[in-house]
Amino acid sequence: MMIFMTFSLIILLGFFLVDLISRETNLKLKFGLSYPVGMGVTSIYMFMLDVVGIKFTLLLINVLNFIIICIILFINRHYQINRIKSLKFNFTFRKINVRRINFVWGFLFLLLIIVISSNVNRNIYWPVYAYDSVAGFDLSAKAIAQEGKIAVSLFDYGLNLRRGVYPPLSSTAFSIPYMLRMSSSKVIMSFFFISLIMAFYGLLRRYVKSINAMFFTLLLAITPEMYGYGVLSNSNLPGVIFIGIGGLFFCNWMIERKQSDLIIAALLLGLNVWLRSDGVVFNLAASLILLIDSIKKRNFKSFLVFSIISFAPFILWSFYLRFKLGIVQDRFVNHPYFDLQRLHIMQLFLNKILISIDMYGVIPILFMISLILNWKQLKTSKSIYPIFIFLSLFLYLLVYYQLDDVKQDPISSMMRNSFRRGYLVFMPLYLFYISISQTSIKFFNIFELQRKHK
Amino acid sequence: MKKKKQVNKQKNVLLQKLDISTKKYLFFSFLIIIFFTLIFSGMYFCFPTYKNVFLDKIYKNTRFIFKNKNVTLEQKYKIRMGKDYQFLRVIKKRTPEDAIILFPPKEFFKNTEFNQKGSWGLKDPTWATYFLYPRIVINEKWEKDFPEIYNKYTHVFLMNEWGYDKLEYPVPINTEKLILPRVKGGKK
Repeated sequence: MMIFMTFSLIILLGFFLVDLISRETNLKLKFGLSYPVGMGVTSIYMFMLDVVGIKFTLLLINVLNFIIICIILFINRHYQINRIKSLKFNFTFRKINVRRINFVWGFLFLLLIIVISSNVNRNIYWPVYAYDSVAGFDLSAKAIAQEGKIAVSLFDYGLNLRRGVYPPLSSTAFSIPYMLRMSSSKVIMSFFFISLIMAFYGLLRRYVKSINAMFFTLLLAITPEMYGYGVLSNSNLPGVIFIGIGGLFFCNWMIERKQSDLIIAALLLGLNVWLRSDGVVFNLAASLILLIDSIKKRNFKSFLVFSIISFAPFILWSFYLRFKLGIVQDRFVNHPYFDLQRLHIMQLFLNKILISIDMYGVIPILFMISLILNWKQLKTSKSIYPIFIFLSLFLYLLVYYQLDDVKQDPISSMMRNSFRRGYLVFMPLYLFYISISQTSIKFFNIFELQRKHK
Repeated sequence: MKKKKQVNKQKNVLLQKLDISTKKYLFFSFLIIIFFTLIFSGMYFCFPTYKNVFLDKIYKNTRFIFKNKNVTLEQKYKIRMGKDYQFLRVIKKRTPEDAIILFPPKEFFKNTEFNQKGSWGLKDPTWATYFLYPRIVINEKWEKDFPEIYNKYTHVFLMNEWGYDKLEYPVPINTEKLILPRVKGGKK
């Protein structure tokens, strides 16, 4: 009962918050963003409680979540009341029209359900065993659940320093099952996996038809690295949601200029740096594009709103690390330099990783093909997607170039392990662009022609 | 009678004969499903990585899980972590919850039955701490980096003749693996 209530409150918190920001968004997208946003907000006030010295317990978290939900509902009350009044419950029996049933979508959905249920089975059955989780996020989570604070005693013992410097979203998310006396926290990965699938599908459905959206959602779910990280308790899969979906919201805002899309993009990219500090490069990429756009339009309101929301968590965590935990992160060479050998090593790994079928399946190759086939699209507003992708990739590589080999693992090891995992966040961006391209839309429209629509 | 008529009307609706355009739609849907099946089959046979996802990660794992539904958590850890996890259980039984346990340096774990590959295993104090928490595991690195913590160790993991000089009472040296308190009779 407690398990159901705790997770329901987190999901409802995220759902009502997304609903408050973006009322017109479809339900699938809202539900897809519910858990990540709900957990992100929960993690932020757990951090606030830690800063003011209040020990958080499961009861306190549930009560605070309930209060925040009530506040959001109160703010949004007029809209919610009108929405409930407009609901019509029609129980009359209707004739089944076979031509309205989308069998192809049903087939693809069935395959997706098989993938999702396999993910859930594995996460419920197997305990945490991956090294990064055991010696990092999950160890922090156990300590957070026991001690009721983020600055756990592990720091005093000199343990966990490498993973402990990560911002607290993943550790606090994994701590919730331990507070609930569950034996493993891996069920959290299933929440994130299902959220990613729903959010990606919901976002695609705003722009393409159902079979197109379902096919590319299924392709995302069966990406080898995506499925692999969906059953490991670490921060890579959550990063795909915050960066991938957040980046897409940002690009959609650049085209459609719906204010709610910008707020959600800022929120998701803000939660991204609350998950992993190195994700700040994506916030930088978006801010840079937004700054240029603001200069052209001579209106900096959107730039300021986006920057404040998306960078605030990064600044908060940096201050906390320095002043509360006494940890100074000094992993970078703090001046520009040119090292041809280092660039050559990076290039060798990039050749293997960027279009690796073993890790990312056919997605990077399809993206390249899509760019070529739809080259005319690069002259339209849809060019924002490849611009954001390539700018983010450049900044991400710059981070690795600037890493100091003396204070960090050598560049070859960092490219082979860390960069390879981080590259996963580009997959939703690639797939989204492929799906909304003219070639893809025309191709999948063939499958939609025969259906009888309203 | 009225109820019977209503039920019959519903049955007729459900069993209504399909018209020609609906049959065409069903046939076309079937063709598209075959098309997508061929695409996924092509991915399965042409790309080993997708075969690994479909066959090993999804099918074989699901089959294993259903066949071994009643396996306990301890048994699952043993399957994944072997002797390292088994010995951790011994350490857990022999130490109190507030123990700080001094482990041998990493090189002493070479050529033992414990895991040698990758980072995980008893050779890594942080990994061991996860399973023994709230007990803390440290090793010789702490003597230089965190001497105030190092001096607080309460138990020693003796292995391959290592660790006997860390105890404050004499113990005959042997090659057995032992967990002994630093001070005879209990922690300091």
